[in-house]
Amino acid sequence: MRLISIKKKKLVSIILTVVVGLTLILATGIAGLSQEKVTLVFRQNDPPASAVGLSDAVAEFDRNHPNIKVKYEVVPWSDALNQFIREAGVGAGPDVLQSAFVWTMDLAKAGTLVKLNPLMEQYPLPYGIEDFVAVDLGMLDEGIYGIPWTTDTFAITYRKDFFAEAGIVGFPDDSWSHFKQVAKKLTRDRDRDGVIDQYGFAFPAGSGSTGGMWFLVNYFIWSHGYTFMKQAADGTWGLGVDAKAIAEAMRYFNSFFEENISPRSLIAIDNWSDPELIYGLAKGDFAMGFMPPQSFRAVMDANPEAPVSSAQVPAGRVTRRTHLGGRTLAINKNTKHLKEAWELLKWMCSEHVFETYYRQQFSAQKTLLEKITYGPEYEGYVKLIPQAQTFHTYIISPVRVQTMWALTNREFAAVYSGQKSIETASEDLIREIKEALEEAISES
Amino acid sequence: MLQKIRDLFIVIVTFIIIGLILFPFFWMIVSSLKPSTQLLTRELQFIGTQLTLKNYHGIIEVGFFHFILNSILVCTTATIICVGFIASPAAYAISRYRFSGRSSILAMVGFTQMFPWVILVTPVFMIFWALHLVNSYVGLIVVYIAITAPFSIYMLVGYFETIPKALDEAAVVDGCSPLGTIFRVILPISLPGLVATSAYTFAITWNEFIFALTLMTQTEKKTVPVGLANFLGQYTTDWGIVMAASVVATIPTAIFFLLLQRHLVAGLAVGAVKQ
Amino acid sequence: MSGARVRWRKAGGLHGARFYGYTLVLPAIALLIFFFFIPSFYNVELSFHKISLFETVRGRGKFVGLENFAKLIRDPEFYNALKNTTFWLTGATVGLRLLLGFVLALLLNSTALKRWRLADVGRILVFIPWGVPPVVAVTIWKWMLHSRYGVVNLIFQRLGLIQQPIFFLTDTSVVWISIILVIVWRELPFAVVTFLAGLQSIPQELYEVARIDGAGWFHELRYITIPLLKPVITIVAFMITIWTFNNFVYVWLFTRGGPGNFTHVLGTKVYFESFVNYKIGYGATFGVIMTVIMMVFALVYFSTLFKRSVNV
Repeated sequence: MRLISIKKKKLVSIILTVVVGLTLILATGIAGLSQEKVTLVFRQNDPPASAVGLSDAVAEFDRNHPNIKVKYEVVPWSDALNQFIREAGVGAGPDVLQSAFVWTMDLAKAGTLVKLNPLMEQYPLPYGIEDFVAVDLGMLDEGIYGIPWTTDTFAITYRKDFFAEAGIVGFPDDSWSHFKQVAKKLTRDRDRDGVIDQYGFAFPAGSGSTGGMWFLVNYFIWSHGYTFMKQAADGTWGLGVDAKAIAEAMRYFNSFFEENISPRSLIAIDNWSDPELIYGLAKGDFAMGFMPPQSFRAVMDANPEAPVSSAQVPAGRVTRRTHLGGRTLAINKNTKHLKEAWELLKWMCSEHVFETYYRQQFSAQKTLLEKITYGPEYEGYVKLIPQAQTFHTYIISPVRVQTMWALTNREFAAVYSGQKSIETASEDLIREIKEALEEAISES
Repeated sequence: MLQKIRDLFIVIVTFIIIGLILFPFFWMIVSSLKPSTQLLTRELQFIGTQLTLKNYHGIIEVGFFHFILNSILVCTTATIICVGFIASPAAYAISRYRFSGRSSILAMVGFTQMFPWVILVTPVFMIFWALHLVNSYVGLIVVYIAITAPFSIYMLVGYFETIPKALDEAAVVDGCSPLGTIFRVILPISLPGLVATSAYTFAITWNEFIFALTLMTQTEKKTVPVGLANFLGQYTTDWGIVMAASVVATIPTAIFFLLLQRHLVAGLAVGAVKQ
Repeated sequence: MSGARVRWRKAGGLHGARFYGYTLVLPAIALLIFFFFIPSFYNVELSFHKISLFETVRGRGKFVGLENFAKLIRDPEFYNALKNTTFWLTGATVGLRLLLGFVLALLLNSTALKRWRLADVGRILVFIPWGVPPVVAVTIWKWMLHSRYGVVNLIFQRLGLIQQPIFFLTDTSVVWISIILVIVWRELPFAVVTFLAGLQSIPQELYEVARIDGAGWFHELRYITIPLLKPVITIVAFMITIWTFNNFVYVWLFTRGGPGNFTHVLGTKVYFESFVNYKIGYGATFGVIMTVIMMVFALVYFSTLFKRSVNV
């Protein structure tokens, strides 16, 4: 008797679960069908603090288009690429997505993005595609697959009051050695307790595979006329830098630690917006820092009283060059509403959105960069962006940018932490990149 | 008198250990009440001079409580179904019955734990997309049941084995049917074990990140760990908010344990081996 | 009667038992096949291919047979990760958890606490690290161990124990200690809870009888508590070993395998090769090797300890 009743109980609960499950599935399905509206999904990858105003921009688009409903999604950067690839393979994914500059070409190659040229002809962009910088990053075989949306670069950010205090006039961006000299002058023990409390320069020196050291190294070697990947006239790829040049860079940056111009705790920091860097500059633990505009804004938010400004990075023997980074907007090939997605994309790139909502970022359009005024503190960035170069050469080279990025950070950090000598590390780095190049070439 | 000193000693040692264990949590709470500028300082400030609730306002604005509700729904359902309906029957069968393939089933269960979950995500996503279970509570619940079932079975086998077979036989002699034995004899005694297993299952699902991230991309369906990750951005991290969110993320599990820990008290096992 | 299987005549003898056995296990087996076996076959297949993350969108990359495995055996980073995983990640943390967990469980179950009515409070408090998501745990500890602003360094310096701050995150002589600290801190409650539950299931009469016989606490421990807890200890040790061996979250969030390659473990290598280097095939190879190692471990474990203490 008990046997049956207990079996019955189990049976009932199983049926209940199934019924509930089916109902939920059906409910979601029916809810989807009952909408006559077109539903679009817009996905971006920045946390709320960096994406202020975006959801409002989307909301206005909704209001202007009564037959379109846009869902606003956020997937963090660390997982964004993997997630999209997973979805693209099965026919899922957002309609309009934000993509890093360095991913767009690879995503296009994998067949996940819509070729935008026909759309651009039918429903043209307000200032035309020529108005955009870094278009080449979104191109594949003459087709354009991503529209550059925002752009940024890294500049030196500094405390004007410390410069004035030390009697330094003008910014030492004429050479790297001058820069270090000034940084050393700005390193002080203010309260004379034997411990340095104002360091001259702060930079992310960590070994992480997406850490900020990569940018600093590239700026240094570019300014000396070197580069990681170089394509010869006959089309063959090779390294544009040798162990000696790398060793020079390692020696330079390592000296900041040896001469106590930078604290060794920076070796643990990968991210350029780590609180130690941001608040350090805001509170005056550092005289100078190295960061993109979003992080610079965080410094100003952290301490509105602190007189900070931005300046160009030092020039080397040959020139001064920073990288042009940024984000593109692309359309998923799995989209079911191509025309509406394109309208949304154009809207997000519009002057109105950048002026009213998305004020934290620099637009990737030359006209808008001129039209929209940024404060005098941004002078460093505003000067650098027109001279900056994208990682285009690296991207089209056989070796993946991520690979070089990870190797560079690792070898430099090995020197800082005393694990390797400069000779060994510089030779290792060159050798590893050469091996990656050979492997990549042999595979194609 | 001697006993009192011994007691005192044990109590003090225990609470020193517990104090050390809890210090990080205390630090988390204290930090969540400080404004961001005060967080990074070389002065040793335990409580700080300016307390503020600004961080908690911040997480409410972003809809963090919605994440908590999602997590509660998904994790509680998964735990109940997993421990009650999947793991207990299986563990009982493995512990009490002899049937061919028993060892290999145990081995299979163990096998599922033997590789990193990172590998599972892509194929699971593909299958679930085909079944329309992406961005659906049912989908995530099923995943959580699947990933916690093996461990639950293993733990419950351990607990069931601790119960002497003599009890089963005593029950049979008393006139109990097999399922009656389960419900009237074994389960009450193993209640501590069931509770421990449920608590562990709940904790695993509460903190699970990868599947929640992959299967729930819509903001209103996200769970707590995914919501938290949103705050740790690439360019900026507001540590005050992260600490506040962390405190809030820890509370439901703490409440869950609080409610269940009564059942960890013995008392029930005593009456069993009579006769 | 111990060791003999219980037979229920009412249910039709052995035949009935087998029927019950299978039906009770069926839902679990179905889930396992669906969730674990199918994806792991997919993973094995990946390990035989040279395929990049982007190529997974369509197509399967190039079939290369055992080439990935040959590459793995020649890779010094594999051996580095293996060493780290075995000794530091798994060995140290499992040992500490078993020991400290057992001690804490005994303390929390002690009559001393019960007399003072502090047992409940103690138990609740001990569970708290468990409720903290790993991301949060790592974040807090990274912060507490920060070389300039971390409270640990500040306290040590204030107490005069050290002059210069300790670089917990980047100094290769202490970085593993930091990682082990985080893992044990967060995972200890599990061991405590399971041991506690096990202790609760031991009938009180046994202790009373022993006490009447004049046994001290050490005797009770050695002849009653530990033997009766053996099944629980064995299973717990087994599961946390396997789980820790495969773990990647803690090391990845804490150091990303750094400084340099110093703290890379097998789990982080899978993630690194698959999602940072985009070599999904090679990453899958690491995954397969990890599974094989664990299977061998399980086999050895099963045939020795498990059989002896669990009476399987």
